[in-house]
Amino acid sequence: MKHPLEDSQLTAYVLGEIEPDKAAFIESAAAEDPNLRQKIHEIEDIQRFLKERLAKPAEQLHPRQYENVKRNARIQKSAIAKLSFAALKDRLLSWLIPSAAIAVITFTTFVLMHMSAKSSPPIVKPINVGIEAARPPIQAQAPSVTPQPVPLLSSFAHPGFLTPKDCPVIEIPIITGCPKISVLNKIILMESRFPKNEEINIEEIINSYPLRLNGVSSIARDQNNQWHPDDREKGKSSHFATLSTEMIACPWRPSATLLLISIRANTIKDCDIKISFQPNPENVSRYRLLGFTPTSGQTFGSTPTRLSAGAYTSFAIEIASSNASTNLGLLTWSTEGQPAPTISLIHKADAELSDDARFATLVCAYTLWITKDLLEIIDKEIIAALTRETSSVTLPPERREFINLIERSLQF
Amino acid sequence: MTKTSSQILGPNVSCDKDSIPPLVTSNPLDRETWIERAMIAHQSALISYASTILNDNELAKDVVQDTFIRLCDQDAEKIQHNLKPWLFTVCRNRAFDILRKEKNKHHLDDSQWRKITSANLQPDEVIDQQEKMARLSTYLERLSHNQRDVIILKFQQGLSYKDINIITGLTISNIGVLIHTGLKRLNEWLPEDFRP
Repeated sequence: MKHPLEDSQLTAYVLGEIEPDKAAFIESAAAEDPNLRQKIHEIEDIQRFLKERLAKPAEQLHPRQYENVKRNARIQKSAIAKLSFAALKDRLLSWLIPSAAIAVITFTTFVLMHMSAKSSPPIVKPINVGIEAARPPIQAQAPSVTPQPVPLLSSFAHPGFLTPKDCPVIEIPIITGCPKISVLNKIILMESRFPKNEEINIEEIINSYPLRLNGVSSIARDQNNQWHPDDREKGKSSHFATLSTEMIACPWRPSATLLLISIRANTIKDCDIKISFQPNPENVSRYRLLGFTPTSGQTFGSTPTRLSAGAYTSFAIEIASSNASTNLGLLTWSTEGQPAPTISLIHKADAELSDDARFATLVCAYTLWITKDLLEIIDKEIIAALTRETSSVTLPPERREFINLIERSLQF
Repeated sequence: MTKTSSQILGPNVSCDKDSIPPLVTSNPLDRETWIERAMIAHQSALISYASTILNDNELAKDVVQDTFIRLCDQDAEKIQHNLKPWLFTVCRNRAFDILRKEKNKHHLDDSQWRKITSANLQPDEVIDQQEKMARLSTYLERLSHNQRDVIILKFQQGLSYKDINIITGLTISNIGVLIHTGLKRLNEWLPEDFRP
């Protein structure tokens, strides 16, 4: 090394691990020596690079783990309380003296009573041993409604059930936003009634909650600009969109499967997405995309395909099987005209369901119930059972609000 | 669904990262609150550190849970002034213990599956993070064990040489040399398209 300074000292200087006088010496030496400055810059660069690459998103313990620790802290707390002699002494003194006094008085009374010649029968007074706790009524609170951009709904619609023979491929419309959730809140919580069919759109209610599904996912990337280098934080990414799926036994028709689909755009730019569901004609008897119900005067129109940057959208397809086979078809999709990895839809009945899939299923069932879509099949009991399954203390506030909405509807 | 700190935190507990008020009384209630504050302040850093060692977020969370349970058994007054290094030491030892035990247990498919499903992220974010980390890992793994260890503690966790000394038992001068030589090697090995 040409310079009298050791390289490790330069590293320590850049990392702020050197005494102030040595740091001042390095700074004055660097001011005169461009080679030294260059070395310092190199160390700074690698330091920045490593910090960026080793950084991980903030994760937290699961609620059950958090509670485990707190329980241990409490157990330890009581152990400490038992072991603390000073606390023990104080406590003993605080109750020992009054107890002794009570014992003396009781003994004296007992002796005096036995000494008296007359004895009267005891008067027994009824004692109220329990007070019925009045259960507070569920407070109807209007959930805070975040204004959502109104989607540009085209005049397209889908009929109800389709058969693979009549419709071997169905294009899934990309529609974001959920303006009708606020309408639903108002009708249920303020007006205390069920909505009329024309007042809400099932697809918008389903689409109101971002989902993180636990089944097969497919990630679309720009094939002309493959991953490396991908620097999302600085707006450089080849990620177009992510399509996630999960399948669940349909709660209102156990022989059918509910296919949940969630699409999430990249955070940088809008994206053109085309998704098609191809049912397996050998195994699927019929299917339907929930929502998008045709109303009077509507016909099939052009399917919207634009997904805004950072936006998400979700769908549900009810698939009725014609046999016990689990291969239900394919989801093919493309982004910006480039094909993305196809998803084979294999329903694994023993797969562990995600909380999001359970919640999405509840949303589907509830919206079908209030719109009387399956009046003879979905009833209060099914909704109440699904709500119980889905409710937990860890639900995020917006989902908790939805559960409140359901609980309120069940009282009608 | 994971709770955020503010959701988990009790009504009387608030906490800024890295600013846990010292435990000044032996009141058990204060002690419980202090442990909760420690958990909120350090859980995220510990999880990222343990998951870097174990390459598995779920296992990392178990290790961090064990670390805080160990904290419950400790004399808080003794360790409160060196809490962060203490937590990292226990977490590191536990993670390496598990790594040694689990090393030959998992089939590749299992560990890959767990990696994909572990993080609290969307699938594309998980893949993106894994790809970046995997690429860097190929170079980090060529360093010696001690070099890799101190580099992660320094650059991922931002710990001082003094704290790293407590955690690893290496001398401060040795830590300086290990970091310097480690950086020098990484600088030589990293390909042009991966350089900062």
